[in-house]
Amino acid sequence: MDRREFIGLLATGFAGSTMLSSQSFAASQPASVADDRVIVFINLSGGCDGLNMITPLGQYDQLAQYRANVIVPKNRLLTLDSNMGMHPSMTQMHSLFQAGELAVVQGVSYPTPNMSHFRSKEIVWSGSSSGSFFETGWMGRQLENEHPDFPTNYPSSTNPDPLVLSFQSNPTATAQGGNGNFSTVTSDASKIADFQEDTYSQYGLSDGRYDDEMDFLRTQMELTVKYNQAVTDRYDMGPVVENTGGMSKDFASIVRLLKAGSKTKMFIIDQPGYDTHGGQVIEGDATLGVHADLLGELSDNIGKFMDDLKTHGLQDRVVGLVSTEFGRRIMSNDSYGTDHGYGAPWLVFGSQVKGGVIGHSELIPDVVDDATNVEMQYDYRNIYQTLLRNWFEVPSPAVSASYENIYQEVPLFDSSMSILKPNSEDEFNLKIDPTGTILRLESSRNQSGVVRVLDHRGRLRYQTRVSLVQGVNTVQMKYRDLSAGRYVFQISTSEIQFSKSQLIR
Amino acid sequence: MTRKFVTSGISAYSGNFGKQEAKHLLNRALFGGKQSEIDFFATKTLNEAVTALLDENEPSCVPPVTNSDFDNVEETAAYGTTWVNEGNTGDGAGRVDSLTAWWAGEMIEQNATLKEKMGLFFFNHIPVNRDTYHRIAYYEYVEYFKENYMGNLKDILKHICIDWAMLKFLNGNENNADAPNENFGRELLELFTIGKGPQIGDGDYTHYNEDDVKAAAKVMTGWKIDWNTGTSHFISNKHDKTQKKFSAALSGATIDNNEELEFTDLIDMLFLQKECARFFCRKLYRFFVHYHIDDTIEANIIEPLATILHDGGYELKPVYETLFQSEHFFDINIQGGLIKNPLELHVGSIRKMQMVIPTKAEVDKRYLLLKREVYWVSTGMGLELGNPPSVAGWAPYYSAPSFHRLWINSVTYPTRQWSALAQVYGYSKTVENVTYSYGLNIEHMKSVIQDITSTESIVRGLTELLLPTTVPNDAIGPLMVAYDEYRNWATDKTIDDHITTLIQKILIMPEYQLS
Repeated sequence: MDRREFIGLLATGFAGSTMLSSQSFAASQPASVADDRVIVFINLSGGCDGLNMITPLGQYDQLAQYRANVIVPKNRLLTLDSNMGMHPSMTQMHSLFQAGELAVVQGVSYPTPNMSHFRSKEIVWSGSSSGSFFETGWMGRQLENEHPDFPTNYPSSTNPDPLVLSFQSNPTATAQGGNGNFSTVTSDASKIADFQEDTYSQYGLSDGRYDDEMDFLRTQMELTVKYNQAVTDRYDMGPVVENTGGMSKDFASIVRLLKAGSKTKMFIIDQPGYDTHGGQVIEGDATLGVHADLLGELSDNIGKFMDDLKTHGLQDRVVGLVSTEFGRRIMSNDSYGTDHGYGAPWLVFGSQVKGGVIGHSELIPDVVDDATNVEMQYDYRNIYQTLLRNWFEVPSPAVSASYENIYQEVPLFDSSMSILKPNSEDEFNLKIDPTGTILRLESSRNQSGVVRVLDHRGRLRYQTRVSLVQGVNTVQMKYRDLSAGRYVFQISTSEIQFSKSQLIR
Repeated sequence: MTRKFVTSGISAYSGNFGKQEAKHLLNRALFGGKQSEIDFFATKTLNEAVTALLDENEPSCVPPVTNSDFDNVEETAAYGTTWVNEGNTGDGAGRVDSLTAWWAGEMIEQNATLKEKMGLFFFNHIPVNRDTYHRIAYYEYVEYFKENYMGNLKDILKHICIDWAMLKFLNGNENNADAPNENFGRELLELFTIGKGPQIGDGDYTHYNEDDVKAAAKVMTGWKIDWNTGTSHFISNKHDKTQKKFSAALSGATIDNNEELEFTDLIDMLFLQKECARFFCRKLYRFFVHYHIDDTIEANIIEPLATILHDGGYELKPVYETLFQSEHFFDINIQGGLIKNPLELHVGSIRKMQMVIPTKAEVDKRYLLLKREVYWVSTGMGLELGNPPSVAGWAPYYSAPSFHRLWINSVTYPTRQWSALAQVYGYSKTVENVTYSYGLNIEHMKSVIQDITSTESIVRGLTELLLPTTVPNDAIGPLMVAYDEYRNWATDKTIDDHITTLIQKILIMPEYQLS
């Protein structure tokens, strides 16, 4: 299939409430993703101390005042640029950085961060705002656009592989769709689990709890038989990739499956252990300890993974995203550890990635107390949205439709990477009166769409459907209450996503 | 996904209490009801049945013992005697194996009371993990819940606050006045007592905020653990002496310095909030009834149970009594709709099929079997006994929207199936000169069949025991056909073989995953 063929246009199907479900996209045309491209999504579970992973050099002495017992000595840091140093365990990722294959996105978080592991994971995996609850995952929603009938008739000849393959112990919330979870879990891709399909329980079901769970189990039984076979068959077709077990084996399996032609869109690897309240570093040598071991394991594995991809000519198909549910506080605690905080760097790697640091080195305020955090520089959703749009080439309305924030591209790729036009400001001339109630829109043609108003936290405050004619349109906004402040006005049509920020009095 | 509204409430169930209802009650309140237990309970009234489940005279735990499987030459407790009074020796790895094997055995051989189920409930609700270095403290932590599940919830919380294992698990022993470690304070609020509500502002989780986390951490400063004795103690000069102020969500409470008793003030203050009762009752509901809680369930079940708990000063027994006798618990829409956790599934198989495990006198055989055939197998299905993946317990009990469905995936579902089938095939294993055998108790299985010459009676007897509800005739019919076909084909086999093959077919049915 030609890449252009599957850039089907998606009618904006914003659900209107913050509870997104399959229904919100049911009537949509499927938008497909770039066929051969893959994301490897790596979770640093527990909340990685970002300030010890990427340490600001300009304010090093000031930072050292507040985390003297955990900060890595300045002369041991691996230089990224004059302002930032990387943890000394991360030699392989430092090499990727020097080769221009690693982007460091600074200060990734979301407005009003939640410092609960469980809630923050829920937010980061679903793609929601801090105050809203999505029942589907960020990748699950995208896959649902493309595969609205899943799991009925899956796997199939056109989709023979699991759409998401998770090396975690549970199916990942990231891949949760309205009709089920898109992920298949594997502990060992080389071995098919012995499993028999039942043929006696075929009776009709009603709608009680028992019936719901029976329906789920029957579906899961069928998917398990088929997908386990599919993964093993694929694995057997691939080349041997050396590994040392554990996470190394997971990465090696990805290479092997891709080389064998797997069409899986996303692989998920979890690295637990980052909840370093105590003993993050060893007393007396802050370059050693749990955190150093974890970052070293991560870096070594990603370095080898990139080497393996290159050996097999797969490097241009893969982007890796290293995420964490939150970072940790600027001030360390008495037990050589750090407590839950706000933002942390996220890392994006791959041969197609535009390497470098995105954002500035974290600012350490003049006065730091036990509640002080680094500031947010990038909304995590913008990383997902950039990946969806520029890596998977999903049209921008489809990218924006299932999020409450404003899409702003994060420069993870060279502009030539995407064959799609960037958001066009030419399509609309938008004027907003000072009270925000009357919008004047100049459209280049007849088209319908949605106008949304979001507050400074990215929460949806108002939306209305509009039918625009060619020329000047006036749209009256009927708010119930909209207090003064800065708002983002967002217009989505089937082709255009346009937004403008304005102070409302 | 839309789910049926189930409108029944907590008023006492007044319908028939027969074998199906007794089976449902025991499947949920125990690790699977045995035939003899179901038959016995079905002769009682519901009230008598629940009174028996909540037996106050349940004997105390008989602790685990040393066995030869210990890879620990420093163990000082003699073979076959308990190590729980015997100092802390070596790395204690063998003691952890002993503890988890013992725990599995207690579940299998449980009395028909709520004790073992609540032991696991509380360990999921307020867990520590296998890294609890002091093994006696670890044992005492596990044992505590089994001995106190019928007591007072506030007392339980006060106990765990300064327990050795918990202080170690959540860095409470490193929480000092000059730089508090928030780990325990945060989880105490978020996971053990009041729970987080929607986030309504910076660091504001409706029921408490980040400043409350800090204040709670300060209250808990000063506690230390003794590495050798497995006990905790308080060091006053590590304790924050300031007045701790809490937010409006906690009624603007203040706690003045009260040294080593200050943690009791904190628990008392938190439990003034009814939200603590609601949070606990939701967890209880998810564990015993179903994970789906909508507004109707919230109004009809959670709120009235929370009122009983809160207004009763957090005594637990009245809550159990009400829940297990409620019309909601016996609602036809609720029965059979719970996906079994790995231990409910696996221990349930052993219990329901009355598989013979070595006696407590056969120490090595027993502990080896329990370790390899229960602890290891359950771990492979996603529930490692004594070692939850995080401080929040096992994800299926809290992770929306999938909840219990997370027990089932492309790795665990096959494991759940083959482990059940392996139990039926039976086998012997020899590990370092210890041999144990394991397998189906066919005589017991035959005993649940009324008429061994009737195919229908065979199918109905076995499905009634093994499956949570009475399966429709649309499934009984094909099973009967399959049984007859096999019997007519395998004429050289005995009736035991024919029945065993039928049991395998039943275990493969999705229904077997449900309770």
